[in-house]
Amino acid sequence: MKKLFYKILILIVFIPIIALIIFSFCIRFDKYNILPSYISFDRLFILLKPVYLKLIISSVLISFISSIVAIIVALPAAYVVAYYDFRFKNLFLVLTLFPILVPPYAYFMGLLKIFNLLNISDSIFGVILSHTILILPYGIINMKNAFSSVGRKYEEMAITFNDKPLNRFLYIILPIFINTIIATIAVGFTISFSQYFLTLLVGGGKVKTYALYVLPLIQGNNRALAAAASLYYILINGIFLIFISKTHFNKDITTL
Amino acid sequence: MKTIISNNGLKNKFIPYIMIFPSLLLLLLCLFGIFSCILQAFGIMDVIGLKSFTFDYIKSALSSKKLLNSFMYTMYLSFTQSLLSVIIGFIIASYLIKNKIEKYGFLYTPFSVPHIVVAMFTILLFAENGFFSRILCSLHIIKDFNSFPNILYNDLGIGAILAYVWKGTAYVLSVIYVVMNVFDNKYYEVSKTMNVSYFRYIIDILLPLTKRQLISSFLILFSYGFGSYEIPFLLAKTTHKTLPVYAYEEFLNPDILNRPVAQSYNLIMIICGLMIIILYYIFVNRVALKKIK
Repeated sequence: MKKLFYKILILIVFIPIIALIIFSFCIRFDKYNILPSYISFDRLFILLKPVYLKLIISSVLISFISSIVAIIVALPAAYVVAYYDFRFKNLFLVLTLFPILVPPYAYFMGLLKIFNLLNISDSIFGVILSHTILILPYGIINMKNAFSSVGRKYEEMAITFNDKPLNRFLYIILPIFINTIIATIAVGFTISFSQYFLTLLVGGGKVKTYALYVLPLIQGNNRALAAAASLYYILINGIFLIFISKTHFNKDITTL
Repeated sequence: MKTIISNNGLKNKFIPYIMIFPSLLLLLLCLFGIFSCILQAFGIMDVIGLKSFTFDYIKSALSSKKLLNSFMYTMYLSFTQSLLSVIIGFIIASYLIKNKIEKYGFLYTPFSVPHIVVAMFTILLFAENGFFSRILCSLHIIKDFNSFPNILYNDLGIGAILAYVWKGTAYVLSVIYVVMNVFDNKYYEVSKTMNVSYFRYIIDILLPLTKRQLISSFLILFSYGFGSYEIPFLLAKTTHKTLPVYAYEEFLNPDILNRPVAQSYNLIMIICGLMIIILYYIFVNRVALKKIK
């Protein structure tokens, strides 16, 4: 019974991925059967054309830059929120909830006006800015939790030695929290990489990301191509996440 | 010690404000978006010469039956999916903890799969000529594809709910597992000495202790489901559109005078979002602040 539930869990997680792989190269099936009558890897290779590679690279870059910008903006705010008391702190914390808890499309439709004024709608910069706004709350909340759970003892030591703020950041905060920072970047990347509607709305169809290419395929009739495109989608995301989770620095410093 | 820190660590009392300034700027952009949406919903749009404050758009939106149906459907979808995700996530977490299972990392996989691909999974698995239907046919359990139940595009939106729950459960698990594990190490032995059955231990001890995380993940999933576009667009019946889908359709209308109509739909979503924020503040933030004090 114990093992059975565990096996069911494994099946629930991996059956969709297996189905995706099967459907991406089995083009035709026998009638009413799971066995394929025609196998072709064409669909998997179609996506290796330079056009799509460019699409993939640009959307990885957009997601990567927005998650990096979000963490850079979130770090000082999370630091202050975790360690200091100041006026309007509660108000600021409530404000950080807005981008996640208010449906993003609602406020971005209003925000388009200001994007037009700033001349950044329909541009990569606008898309990156909008993704950053969406990721920022996760950055602040994650980093705040990490900061307050580890505490300030190491930094306080440095303060007693009169160390400079920049040194404190580079030699104490960064090494201790690098894992959380990387995890937060990974979460941000996933959120940004899976955005379809926001990119369409702010980018106006001119900024093309991989999601914009995959969704019409899923809607369409060519199931094998859609499956192949989706397979690439999770592969890219997975590769990036594995890459990012392997870059551990000073893993043991948090256990000090 | 304290004075040294406050002198050296923070020479200027304005430093916190300077450090939150960049985030604040971005968050204010979001607030501005909400504000401008509200203005447009009340019929104020300088660009196209609408300057008078009017309730007409909101009135007409509220009185249309189409919108009411879509509102109820959106509510139903997001409520069901978030409730199911939280319940299933809690059950899986308590199962993992009870059996001390170490290899659970794969359960986070759905969390990193984009929603569009989750929709694709659901189509591949549950379509009438999909994976499950084909397997059942191969085993001669069902005669042909037509006898496979219509899961994807039915009135109850089961396809969309399945897709949300597959991903949402992983999120709930990632939030509550760590917390539950910490509490379990503290209280399990104690409860054992008192001869408490495991079921009562879960209900009376773990559930109240993780209440805050459960409520927070419920609210986050609910608001995500409420404002999500991709999954209802791909998986719901075309006659049952959710609010974001309607709002975007109205937004795309070439007649720009139609824009306030779209914004009045958005206004309804924003009001719901604000209510969720209030609930989140009451149940999650304030409880946390009380604990610190």
